[in-house]
Amino acid sequence: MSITEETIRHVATLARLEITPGELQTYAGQLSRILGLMEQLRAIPTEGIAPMSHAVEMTIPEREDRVVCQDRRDALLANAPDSAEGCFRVPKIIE
Amino acid sequence: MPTLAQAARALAVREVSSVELTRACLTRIEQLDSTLNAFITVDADRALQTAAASDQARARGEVGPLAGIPMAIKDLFCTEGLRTTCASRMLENFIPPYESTVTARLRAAGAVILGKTNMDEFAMGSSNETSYFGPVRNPWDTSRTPGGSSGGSAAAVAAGLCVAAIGTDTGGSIRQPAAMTGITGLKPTYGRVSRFGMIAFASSLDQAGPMTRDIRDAAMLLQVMAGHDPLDSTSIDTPVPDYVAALDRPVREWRIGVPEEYFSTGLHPEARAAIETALEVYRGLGAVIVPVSLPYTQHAIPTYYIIAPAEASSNLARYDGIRFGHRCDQPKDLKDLYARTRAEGFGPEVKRRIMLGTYVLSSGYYDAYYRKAQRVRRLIADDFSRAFRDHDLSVILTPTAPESAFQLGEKNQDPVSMYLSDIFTINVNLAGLPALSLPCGFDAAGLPIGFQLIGRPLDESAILTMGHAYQQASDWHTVTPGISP
Repeated sequence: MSITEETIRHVATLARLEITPGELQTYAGQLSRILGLMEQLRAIPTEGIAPMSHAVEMTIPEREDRVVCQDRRDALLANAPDSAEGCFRVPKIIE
Repeated sequence: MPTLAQAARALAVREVSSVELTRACLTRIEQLDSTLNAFITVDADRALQTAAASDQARARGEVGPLAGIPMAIKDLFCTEGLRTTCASRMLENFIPPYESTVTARLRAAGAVILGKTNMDEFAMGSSNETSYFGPVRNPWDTSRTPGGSSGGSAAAVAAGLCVAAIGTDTGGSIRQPAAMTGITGLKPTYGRVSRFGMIAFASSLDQAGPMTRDIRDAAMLLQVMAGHDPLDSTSIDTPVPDYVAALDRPVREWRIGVPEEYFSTGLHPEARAAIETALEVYRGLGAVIVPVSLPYTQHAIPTYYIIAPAEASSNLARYDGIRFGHRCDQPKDLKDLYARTRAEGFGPEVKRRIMLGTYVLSSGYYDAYYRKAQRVRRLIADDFSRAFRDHDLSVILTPTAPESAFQLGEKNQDPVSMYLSDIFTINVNLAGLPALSLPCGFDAAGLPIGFQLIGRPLDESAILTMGHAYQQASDWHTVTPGISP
């Protein structure tokens, strides 16, 4: 299994990770090796086997539809890298 | 350092106060932690205040099950007002506005929290070398890893920097470091302990558990940690049995399954010899050793390293530099803010797993990798339930790790060889079963060796009873490293 640098660039864009040319090469090599390890699964017959998405089979519990949130605006904003007037501040997103 | 049970007894008869015990731990931390690097944050002032309050409460007759016990918490549990980093630059200055259920339960039971322990970044690693705050060193040999990802908690317990600690286990992160530092570590059944306030890595696998000097302490802590939590939708709503009361049951006629696949290639001969001696101890106690087969064992690593990174890539999408955590300087637009914030905030192993997870979930590969892995996951889980049922087993016994603690720097240049060191622990996470590791000897280099007991879903009592029977008949768990200031 060989992953091209172009694929790595595409995946990095999807993952919102800036990567350097050096990392591009490293990840292409490492991911190729790791995915090589995954190849052994192909040989296992799994037709008719239901995918297991969780360790415990359970239905999603429902709670009473009641507002329980307190106003914790200031406590939550305290961790924000940038905030103003009770809001998170981000760079301009509309040109 | 006393065990939790010994400390609780000494506190009860006023042989020692919580302040004295807490001070003793803080002194050990001061003397040894510049070498071990087990703690990211030590909360000395608040620990001493809590200890003093605990001593006063005891004088008034108010005594919780962990009253006055100084403990260390993996830096992955949100602690209100106390920095929680997950060993990442991304959360270097994060102060949680809320408390995890596990730490809230420990505090309500009276525990004194000494601080937050070092770990692999976002719990991704098997050697503690991916921490932004530097590796933890093994108290048995400081040139070696204590294992990972809960390596700080393991080293802190082994070196007597605390009475007991809490870790988390997604693929072996409690059990493998427990084995490598000669302590006892328990991963409960998935859903037995609330995940609320644990910083998520792989949500279908993550589970919190105790890391202690012996089995009795693990039972005492699980008693406090376990139970339904409406704040975690995957938390199981069934009564919590009395784990401590179950410890002294005789194990005569109990059937122990030993899967041949775990004793084939890859297991170090010294580990094999120590585990075979442990099996002799069980035969001596009247237990029945039953050879079993878990044929899908060898497929666990590729299955896990598809599923866990896939879940991680989704969970870690929340680190976007907007609401909390690191943000890059002078972003030119929102895309630039996301990409540079994440490039700067995450270390290489975390990025590698985000890339891997994003790849296996991406269009065109989802079925070939992720869906396939989910199907094989069921086959692996079925292996265990079939073995338990067909052979009427109480527990399954295996090695915990293929080898004893390896050198720092030995495997961290090659992700594949690091991933392979999880071979004996990740199957249990995929199946959601409870399992624990306990010490059973030392190799020629004087490094601890552990073995693993795996139970049926929600039958923590069986593995604890079985482990306790072994510790009544052996004294490996009482040996401590000779590390001194």
